[in-house]
Amino acid sequence: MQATAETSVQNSQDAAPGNRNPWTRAGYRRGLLAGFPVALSVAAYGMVFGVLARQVGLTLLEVVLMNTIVFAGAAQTAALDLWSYPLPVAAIVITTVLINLRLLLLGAALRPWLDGYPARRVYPWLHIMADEGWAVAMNRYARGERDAGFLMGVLTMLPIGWVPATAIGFMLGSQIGDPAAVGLDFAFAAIFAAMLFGTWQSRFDLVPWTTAGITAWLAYQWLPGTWYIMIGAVSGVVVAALTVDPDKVATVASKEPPA
Amino acid sequence: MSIHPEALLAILLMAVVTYATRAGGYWIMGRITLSPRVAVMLAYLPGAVLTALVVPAVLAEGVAGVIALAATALAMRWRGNLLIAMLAGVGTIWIVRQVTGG
Repeated sequence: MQATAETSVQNSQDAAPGNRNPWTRAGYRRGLLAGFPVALSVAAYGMVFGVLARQVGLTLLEVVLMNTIVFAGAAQTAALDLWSYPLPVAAIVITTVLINLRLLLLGAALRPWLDGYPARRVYPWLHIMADEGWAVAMNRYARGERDAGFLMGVLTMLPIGWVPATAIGFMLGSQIGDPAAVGLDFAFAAIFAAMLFGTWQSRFDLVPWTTAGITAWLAYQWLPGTWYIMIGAVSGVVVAALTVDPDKVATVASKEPPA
Repeated sequence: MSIHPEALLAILLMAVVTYATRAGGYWIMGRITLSPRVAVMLAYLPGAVLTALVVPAVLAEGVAGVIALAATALAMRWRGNLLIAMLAGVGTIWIVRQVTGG
């Protein structure tokens, strides 16, 4: 929010770091509007997260703290899956890193849009950068949107949709008795599977995914703890590096808009 | 209304590594260019992690898990909405368990 305060000077004063993109209050408002439908779907998932968090034994304060300072739904859901005392803290943190490494790519792709702005203006906003809002904003960037305020407006809608919904889900969670009786013990697997199918890009995904699945299943049966996550993930990306032609899939290196 | 010390530690560490990934990509793009091979590996990482989480969870449920996975996939393809797809998976495994008495 503090970033919008100094927007009015942008158009007259962007000489210093070259031709940086505008960052306006009007753009921010357009971003808020464009982010509204995203906020609704984020809120729906947030409520599910709140229900699941209560079932694995988090307190309301822990739920609100995690959703505010971590703010990464997929990684947090994976963490809930591992959440039993004594907490496997190392496994939780490593799984968080593995799932969130993709955020490196999202952040990298924002560079051309925000280039020229000082670190103190950009870095605070990066905390609320997440897949859904990033995708909406980048889609508009590809169609010509250049106002940095628009990006920040879309991103602002994400925590607005997410954080209160997780708390509401937590409070509603007390109405649900035995999770297995209504199939909710399968919710983790189902939500991960839904995310997985949502990331499907092309037939090139098949070989790396199959590899990850087979090695994870073998490791799950033969090794203790949560090694299966790391082993499945690493074998999957190694096979991707060996089998996928970088020119044929969308990556940051290929998708980067001309600066 | 409290915070377990272990939970606090886990949440703080999760927050640190998560912000590092958010800021790190933006930071490094100002300094280096990614090799296409590394870009492919990073692009495939989320899918690989999700597959590694999903496959053991589904197979541990046996046939019911596989049927519910198929329902999740179909729902995701139909509506492209995480919530609907998840509910399809959960609802399906509930039904299969009722039918098979499992």
